[in-house]
Order: sequence, then structure tokens, then C-alpha cells
Amino acid sequence: MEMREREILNKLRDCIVNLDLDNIKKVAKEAIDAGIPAYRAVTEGMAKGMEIVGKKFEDKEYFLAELIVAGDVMKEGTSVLEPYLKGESLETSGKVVIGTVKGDLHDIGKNIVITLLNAAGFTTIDLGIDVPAEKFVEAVREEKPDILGLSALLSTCQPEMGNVVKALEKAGLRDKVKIIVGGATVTEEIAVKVGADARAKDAVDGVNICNEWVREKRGLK
Amino acid sequence: MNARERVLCTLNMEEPDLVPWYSTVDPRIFGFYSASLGSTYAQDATQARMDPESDSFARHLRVQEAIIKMLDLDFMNIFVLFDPNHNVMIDEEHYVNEWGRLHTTKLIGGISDAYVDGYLTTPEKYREFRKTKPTPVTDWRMKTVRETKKIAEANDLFLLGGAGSIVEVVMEAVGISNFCRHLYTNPAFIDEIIRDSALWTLEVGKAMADEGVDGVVIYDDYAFHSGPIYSVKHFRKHVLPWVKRVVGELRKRGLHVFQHACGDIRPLMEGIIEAGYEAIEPLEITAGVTIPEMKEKWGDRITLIGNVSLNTLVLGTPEETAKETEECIRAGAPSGGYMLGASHGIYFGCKPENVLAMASARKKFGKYPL
Repeated sequence: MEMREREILNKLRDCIVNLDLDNIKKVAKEAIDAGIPAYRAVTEGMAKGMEIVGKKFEDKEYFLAELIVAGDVMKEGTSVLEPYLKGESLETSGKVVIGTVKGDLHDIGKNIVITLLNAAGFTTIDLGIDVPAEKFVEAVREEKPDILGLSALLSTCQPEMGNVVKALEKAGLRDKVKIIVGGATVTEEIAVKVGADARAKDAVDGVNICNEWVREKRGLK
Repeated sequence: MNARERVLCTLNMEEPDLVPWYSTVDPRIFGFYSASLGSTYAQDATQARMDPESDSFARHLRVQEAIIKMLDLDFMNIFVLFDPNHNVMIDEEHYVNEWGRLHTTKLIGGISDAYVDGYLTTPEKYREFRKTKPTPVTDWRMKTVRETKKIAEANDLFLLGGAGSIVEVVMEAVGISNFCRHLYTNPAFIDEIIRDSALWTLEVGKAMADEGVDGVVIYDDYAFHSGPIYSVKHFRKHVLPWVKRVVGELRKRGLHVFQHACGDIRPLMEGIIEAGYEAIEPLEITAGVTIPEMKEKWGDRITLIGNVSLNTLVLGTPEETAKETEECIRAGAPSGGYMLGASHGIYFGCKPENVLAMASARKKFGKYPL
């Protein structure tokens, strides 16, 4: 790869890592002007930056505020690159259907996960809050996602996660989808109890797990 | 000792006769009210519908008194964070409250009047809204304090008023994501809204002091279970100066000042103690906050409250609840400085037998000398 190309891709990466809202659009334009394919600007530039942001979050150097701003920087950059993505191959990382289970109305965590999944290249379908099991089943049937995400904050709603899993089993769809659960009171133990495949301890952990699953599915591990 | 003396002794880092118990308990757990009467775990929605000088509010206070006596709780809480008389309906199912938070009236999972999102999504909208914001010291607020105080005095309870919030509620009013963005794009706006919120809370706190409450609690969720929402650097720069001012001025008025802060607040504990808070609750165990660690690191400088898991109270057994209660007491109570409580408000969904098990375990394991 040319030095100039690498330099620009690194600048894109660094805009994300440094939360540089002021310059991201300029650097994205620079990438286009330099002839860098838009999808590479996304996957080898900005997405790399989001990976580093995720690592900084895990290391407790960055916090939720930085995740949100990094997501905004990525969105700004993508807005410049998007017209050039038409006709180019930007393979989605995977498809995720996600919702807060019936009886619970908390969605801040879910919405943060969605932002990060989108930034990581996933296609997300948000079913909202207070979602009954039937609606999750219908969404899995119609959308054929790779992953189903169930969110709950209230302890009283954890059994509802189990109801969703059972409903998928009854519909013959359980083996078609990986299930990840999350929420402030959701522990590893509860994830096992409800029959999920994994529990996300926070938003970044959730995205990492989803990435891992998709890589396994595509034999890229 | 009576309840009030017990709490004061514990706040003074001395050993009382019995570990005090600080919890808010949804009366529906014990069959008071029907399940269809929506209530947040802090009961403010229930109370909010009532005129403090009405018969229905008097009955509501008697229900609270009955719960307190049944469980032998030591606090009478005054829930006045949101004055319902200043709610403005924006459609059939949503209203904006006096702080600018968007709420739904829909009953979901036994909870009504729940927060949905921020309504004051831009600085312009915020400033326009503030022109209509009422004085914090409203009739509803003060009448509620006075009526609740009568019950506290009759039962020698520690009277704790909810004075307000310095950052959490206004953050929710502008929207949490927007707040995070402004930290980077418009920090002057962050300072503006925190200043307004702090001064509001200070006014309510002073008015409560004048009414003779024993203490106030300030509600500020700085963290999620994964850690603080923003960095320690941002906390120290934008939030802590105002926290110090408000807590300092209220303490000068003779009030004991409690911090309510959910999630993993450990990275912020030095700042919270520096601010002058005397006690912190609820200490969420599912956020990785444990009594042994809190006691070791900060237990000699701030009274710890809480930590019995809501997961256990909701999904566990009386035996498991009793065991956890014992563990919290054994870890936190030696030398004083600990009050029993759950990892958040004991809400509708907690099993009554588990709450009663907590009460029994407290009596069994929480008598001094331990």
C-alpha cells in the first residue's frame, strides 16, 4: 500500500480515537480525493479507530461519553463516504435484532449497543421496549438475523428472557440464531439459566462477542 | 435507641444498638394498593398524584408508616423530586416534567410515569424552557415535607428529604447522549445546566432545613454498572465543584447529606467523599460494588448503605436473602458506619417473604456488640 494511502487511513483512524469531530469530514474527503475506495476508508480507517476506542473503554481510559462521541465522529465520516459506497462492496458484519423484553422500559444500554454495532458495520433492527416474546420470534423468522439481543434492567424481567428463548424453541428457530443478553442486573448465571448463548457485561463486550460469533460463522476464526 | 438516634450514631461512625435500615419499599409488595396503581420504586409517582393536604395523601402516609413499623425501618423518606403540578402533557401518553424530562404515563411492568428521554435536546430549547420553570420551593413540595414530618416525629424516625439532583436529572432532561456530546462540543453549556441544577437543589435543601428535616439525599447517578458515564477528569472539572458547594452549604445548615449514586461509582469515590457527603447508597452489587472493598477503602470516611442484591430479593429465597444480609452486616457493620439496604429501592417484584427475611436477619445479626 502506498505511504500516502496508509497515512490517510491512519488519520481517519486517529480522528475516531481522538474524538476529532472538527476534522473527520475533511480527512474523509482527503481519502476520496486520494482515490482510496470508500469501503477501505471505512473498514481500514475508521473501523480500526472504533476498535481502539473499544479497547480504551475496556481499559477504563474511555467512558460512555467517549463511546458516544466516537460514534458521532464515525457517523460524520460515513456521511462523506456514503455516496461513494454505492456500487462498492461494504459487506455488513452481520444482522442483529435487538429489543428490551416485555415488562421493561429501560433502553439506554440497548441504544448504546446499537450505536456501537452500527459503527462496527452491523445491520441492526431495534424492536424497542416492552417487546413480547412473539414479536421477537416474528422478527427472527422474518429478518433471519445472525444474532438476537435481549436487554433488561429489572430483575423481574429476567425470566421473560427465558420465555423468549422457549418461544424460539417452540417455533423451531432457536438453532437459527445466537442469543446474547445484557442489562445492569443480568449476570453470567442468569444468562445460562435463561438459555442464552452469552451475556454482555457492557456494550463493548457485547459488540466483541457479536464480532466473534460472526467470524466463527464465516469460518474466519 | 430510637431510629433517629441510631442513624445519627452510625453517621458519626460509632456503633449504635442495631444496624440501621435504609430502604424505600413499594407498599404493593405487602398488598397495599392494587398492582394496577403504577408506582416507581421510589413511590414518587403514587405520591405525586396526591394533594399533600388531602385525605388520600394522609392514607398514603399511614401506609408508609405501616410498612416502616412492620419492617422496623429507621427512615421516613420525603419524595418530592418532581412536582406533578408542573407536568405538561405533550401528547396522550407523554408529558414533560418541571425539569424537562420526557415521561410516559403508560404502565409498563408495574411502573408508570417512567422517564423516556430528554426533551430539552438543544441549548436553545433548554433556555426557552427555563423561562417557564417554576421556583423550586413550591407549595406542593413544602406541604409534603410538613405532612411527612408529622409521621417522622411521631415515630422518632430520621427524616430524609429528597432535595434534588446536581447533574443526573438535568442530564436526563437534555438526553444522556446529548449531555455526553456537549462535554466535548459545548462544555460551557454543561457548566450552565449543572449550575442551574445545583442552585435549584440548594434552594430546596435550604427550605427543607428550615422545615426541620434531619437530612437530605441528593440523587446523582454518575455511573452505569459498567462504570462512570464520563471520566473522572470531566467529573472533577464540571460536576464536583458544584457538588462541593451544595453539600457544603447544606451541611453548614446542620443537615446530614446523603448521596444516592447507582452503578459502579468506585472511580469517583474520592471526589464524592471530598465533596462532604456523609453517606452513600445504594451500592449496587451487580455493578461490582461490594461492601468488603468499600469498607476497606472508604469505610472510615463515609457511611455505607445498601448492597443486598435486588436479584436475590426478586428471584431468590428467604434463606439466600438472609445469608446475603448477614454477609453485608458482617462486612460493613463492625465499628459502625454501615446501614442495611438493598442494591436499589425495594420495588414491586421483590418477594415479600424475602423482604421479611431481610428484616429478621438484620435483627439476628445486626445487634451491637456484633
